[in-house]
Amino acid sequence: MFKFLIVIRPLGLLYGSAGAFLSPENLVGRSGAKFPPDAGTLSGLILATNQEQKFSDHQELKTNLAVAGAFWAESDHPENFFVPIPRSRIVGEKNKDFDEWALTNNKWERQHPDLDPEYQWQSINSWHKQTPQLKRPEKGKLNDVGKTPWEFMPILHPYLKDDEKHVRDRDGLFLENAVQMREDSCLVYLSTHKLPDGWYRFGGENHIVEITSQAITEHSSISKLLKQKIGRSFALITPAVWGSNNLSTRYPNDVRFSNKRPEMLTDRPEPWRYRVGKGEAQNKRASKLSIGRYAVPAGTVYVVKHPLDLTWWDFPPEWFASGEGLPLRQFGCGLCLPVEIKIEPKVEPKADQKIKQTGED
Amino acid sequence: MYKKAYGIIETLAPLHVGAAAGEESGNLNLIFRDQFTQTGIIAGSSIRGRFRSDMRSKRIEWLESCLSNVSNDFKDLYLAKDDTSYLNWLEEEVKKLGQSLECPKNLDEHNWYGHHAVEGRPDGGTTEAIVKFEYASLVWLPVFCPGQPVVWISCPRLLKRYKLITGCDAPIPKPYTAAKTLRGRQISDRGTAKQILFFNLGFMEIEQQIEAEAMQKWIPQGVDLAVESFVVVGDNDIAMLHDMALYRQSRIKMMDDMKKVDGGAFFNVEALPEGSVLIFPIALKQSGWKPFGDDASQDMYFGGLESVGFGRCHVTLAGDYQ
Repeated sequence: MFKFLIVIRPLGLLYGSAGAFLSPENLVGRSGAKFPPDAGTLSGLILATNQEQKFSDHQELKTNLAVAGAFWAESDHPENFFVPIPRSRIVGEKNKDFDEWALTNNKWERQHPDLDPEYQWQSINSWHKQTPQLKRPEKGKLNDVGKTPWEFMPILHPYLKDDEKHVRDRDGLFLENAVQMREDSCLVYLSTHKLPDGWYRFGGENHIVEITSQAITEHSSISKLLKQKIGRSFALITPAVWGSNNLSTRYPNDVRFSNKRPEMLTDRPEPWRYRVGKGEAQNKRASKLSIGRYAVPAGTVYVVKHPLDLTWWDFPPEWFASGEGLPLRQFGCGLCLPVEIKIEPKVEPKADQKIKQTGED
Repeated sequence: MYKKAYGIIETLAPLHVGAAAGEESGNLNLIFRDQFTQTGIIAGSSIRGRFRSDMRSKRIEWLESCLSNVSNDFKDLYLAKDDTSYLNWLEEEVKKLGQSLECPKNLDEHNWYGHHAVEGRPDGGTTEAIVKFEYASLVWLPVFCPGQPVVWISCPRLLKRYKLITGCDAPIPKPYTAAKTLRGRQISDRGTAKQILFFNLGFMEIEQQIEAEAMQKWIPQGVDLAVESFVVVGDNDIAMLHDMALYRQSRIKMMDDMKKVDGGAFFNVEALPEGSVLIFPIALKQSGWKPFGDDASQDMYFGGLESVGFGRCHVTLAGDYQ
């Protein structure tokens, strides 16, 4: 079970991966820009720090370390951190602007299709609140829902000549897609192990952060939420990579998950990969890159046919890909919390309509 | 985990770190700004570049000392060559003597600030820097008040970063706080005993006054400022006051032979005023870094327009860096 909150406060900028289409010819492409860093980045930092200055048995750490994220919080209240809002909830700007998806006759339906979601994050303490009860921020104060507290900030780094304050003729400019977080905000990850408090390099060369670990108490809302068994409907709060070692699927292909395609509310999949350790002995400089996979984005809502009746910790390992580096569940893949979805019973169609429906899922 | 240190920059001349003339389509050369407070910053890479360049000059001196044993007129020999930089030429000459180019580690800029990419080497031959710098943000910024002494302003958001970097344990003053010793104006006919500060664009009421000792905790090490001129303003006002405080000038280039502007050689520049105080974090993988020798402070130049007298700063290092 997760025992610590790892709180990361940037001391300056962070690096946001610039996106899928970045090339030297097109330095402005930011489609698919990526921030905050995945849980894999933090588990890499924990393992690397343990090799530099041992704080835990390395083999034990490697086997048992699990990290999930990324989330964010206000610096003064890291325990009430913000997680992605389930896609079934639509939260608009004003207090009366809300909507919810419901499953009626196996079709997703909502009352106000024109309403656009304004908020993407919800505080963990408000997870069980009804959508209409979610409080919007007032006068800059954060309540139950929030908008991302970071801004992309492209910074051009000139590479000057050795003996002149003049940019080099060749390769003289480098554009960094930097990210600045609001001064009173921090990144939060869940972890089974703690990291010694201090300053670390995180998210890009020369970017420094202050990391502190905070124990999760038994009675905290996150602890209670994580212990709740997942029923028929749940929402991901981290990206999920399901499937086999070289195949990404949208849900685990296992009868224990669902014997029927689950109903889902989701967005386009996001590329997901990580770097692990050193390569072969003859090529020590090159680090090993994992197989590129697609992840189901955080916020995705699943409705399965029968209740899973398991907590995330009890999910069978075969649901996640493994066999290369660490099992993906250790990177917090597919961490989910139960959500309520209104499910209207399927009305049995009349005999003449039944014929038309044959062949449909 | 890194050793924690930080640097304090006090500007002794206007400081411009941002776009240079010709890099923007307009003719106002803006400084780099923080996204949330819209106040000026110095990018960490600029700070690193300055420290790297200063250490490079020390390495050049070391290379010169290697050559001076052999000949005294090597500088004249270099002047005959104009296709290579002085550093490269020195390195070639030292190599020709059969000497190693490895200088003492404390003089090697590549050791402390990372090796740049070299063509032909695997992975570019780059190395990780031992010393890491983050951007410098404002702590105190002087603003002109007509008919009153100049005040130095800050805001809770900027002080929060200062607190995070220095580990200062004082509570952050609320917006519109000044020390009790502030020399503002008392306007009794407005029915308030509060002090008022007049700026170019309006006035500001001081809502809280705290003891001078409490304000003293927010004066960074090595900075000579008086508590009676400090005012903490709101996060939402700092951007406007900052814009009011910036040093702005229109500059031109004359024709070589006539006192007339050379075509379109006209631009406006903005800069942080002299007397601004900034802070930047420094993280070190190893100790032993002595960029200023045994001293903790030194004058350094940052940013552009050095030729018109910009960029001179006094830098003080503090924390666990040596």
